[in-house]
Amino acid sequence: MLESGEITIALPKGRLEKSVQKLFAACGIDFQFEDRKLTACSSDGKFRFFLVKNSDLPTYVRHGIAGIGICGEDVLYESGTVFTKVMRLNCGQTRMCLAGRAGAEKPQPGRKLKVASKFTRFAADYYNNLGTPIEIIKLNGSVELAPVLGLTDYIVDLVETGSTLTANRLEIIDVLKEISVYMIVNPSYYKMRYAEIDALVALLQGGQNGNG
Amino acid sequence: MKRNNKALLQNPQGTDSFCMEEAAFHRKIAGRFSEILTLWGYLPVQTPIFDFYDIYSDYVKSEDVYRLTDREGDLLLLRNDVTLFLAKQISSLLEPKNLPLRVFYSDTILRHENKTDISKNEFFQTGAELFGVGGEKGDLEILFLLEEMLASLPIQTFLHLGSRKLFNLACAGLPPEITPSLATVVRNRDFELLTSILAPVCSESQIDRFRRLFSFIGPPKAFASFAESLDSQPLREEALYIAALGEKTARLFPNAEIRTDTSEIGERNYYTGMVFRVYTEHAATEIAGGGRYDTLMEHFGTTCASVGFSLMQRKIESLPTLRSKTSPQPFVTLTGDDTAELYLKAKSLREQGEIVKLC
Repeated sequence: MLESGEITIALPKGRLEKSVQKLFAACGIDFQFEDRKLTACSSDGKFRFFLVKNSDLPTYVRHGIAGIGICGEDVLYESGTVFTKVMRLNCGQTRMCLAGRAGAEKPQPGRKLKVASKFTRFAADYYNNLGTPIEIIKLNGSVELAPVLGLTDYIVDLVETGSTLTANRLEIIDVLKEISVYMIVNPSYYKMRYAEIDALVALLQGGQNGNG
Repeated sequence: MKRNNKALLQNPQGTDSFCMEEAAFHRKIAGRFSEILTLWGYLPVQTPIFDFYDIYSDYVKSEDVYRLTDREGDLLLLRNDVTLFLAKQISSLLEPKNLPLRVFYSDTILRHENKTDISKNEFFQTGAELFGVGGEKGDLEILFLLEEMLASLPIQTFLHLGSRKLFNLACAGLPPEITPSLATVVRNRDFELLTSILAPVCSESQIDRFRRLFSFIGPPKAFASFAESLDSQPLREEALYIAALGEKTARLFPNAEIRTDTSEIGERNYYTGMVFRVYTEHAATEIAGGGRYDTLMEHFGTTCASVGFSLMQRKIESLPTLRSKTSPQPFVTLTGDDTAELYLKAKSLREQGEIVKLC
């Protein structure tokens, strides 16, 4: 919980892990997760890193177990929690899309939309704001199967290259939001350690712009 | 009768229970606070556990509170914010002959929180309110009192001092419909979103000035220098005023970290002047907050300068630094068959201040 001393940073397991590690290394902050270990210290002892499941990351930061986290907007939105966003990262960008079977009828304005999605909060808020009634079936993975098997006509999901959609004969109907990755901070942690965090952000921004 | 396990094992969201050593510790902290407040001439007040909802509806979010209907069909609100309930109760006492009025409270609050968001839950507030003292005199009394109460605890605190007035002045001339969203993004320090909200109505240089003004965090002295650079006289005056409050408090409480933080503009829309929040290590959210709310009393039919603060007592009690430095009180156990004889021995020991249990 929010301690003085080393700065604590939660990193998401998976696709972002290596690119974030590379960014830190470019700025002189080296760390390695030993085999199957989920915590690591930077070689200068100033930072402690935790490797956590992407969707759990906001929970660790919200409770102050990690002061800082690296997280996509999709996960942040679903968590429903407000964090201090201190930096947008130049990696991991993706798109939140509405997709359906290739050649399928497009959703009609004002007609109830039935979608499968992992991102239920985002989908509900997005379509409620447009005034479109929506029924959402929550799935935890392989969402592309829903239209293929006839569970729903549409899905709301993240699309990176679109190859999974194509392989399942689906296509993007609408791009709902460009999704970025942010460095987030527990608001209280930021307030207490703003000078150190601002210095870290300046360092990483320099690294990101090729000046690291 | 078969028991419902959920009802047996869980409390509804927004409520809390604590007992024995934990409750004793709670009372000890409350007692310490109460002692300080009494020495400052503050008198205790007790507010009702529920009141008519309508009178508070401008100041509460319906999704965050518990409401119920009474037998006459009136909609009621369970106490979710002691300051609000207190403002109504005290409004009838605010005649010039009674001012200034100093009151304090120590009470439970009931709020609906997200089931998984245990970090924000708070169930007990201790606080002080000062009525009838406007300007620097009242602001400093409240800041000094709060710092004295915090100094009575073995914790390092960080007081972040800002101003709702500064925000209101900066928003003058902007379309009023964007002000609530702007207030949210300033509080959250989301300057990317701030830029997109202001872009349709402001020039780039105006946005840059707004952003620079509300991203400042630093020592009061540095804020005073920053304030001197502000073009607008009302903004400069308010910024210098806040910097002066911070400097005066920092001089008297050298062990506390006092920072000027312009993103502190108060979560409640009833604030009108200085606002502040207090942070500490091992707490995932603030442990105290408050400020000046000179126009709130108008809502309850009277006019009075008002300023105060609330301490999130349950959050403070759970701080490990506090727990480790507070040992349970020792006690003596008397054993024997003759209870009357034990009682007399115990009575004599109790008169000497010992805690005695009979076995």
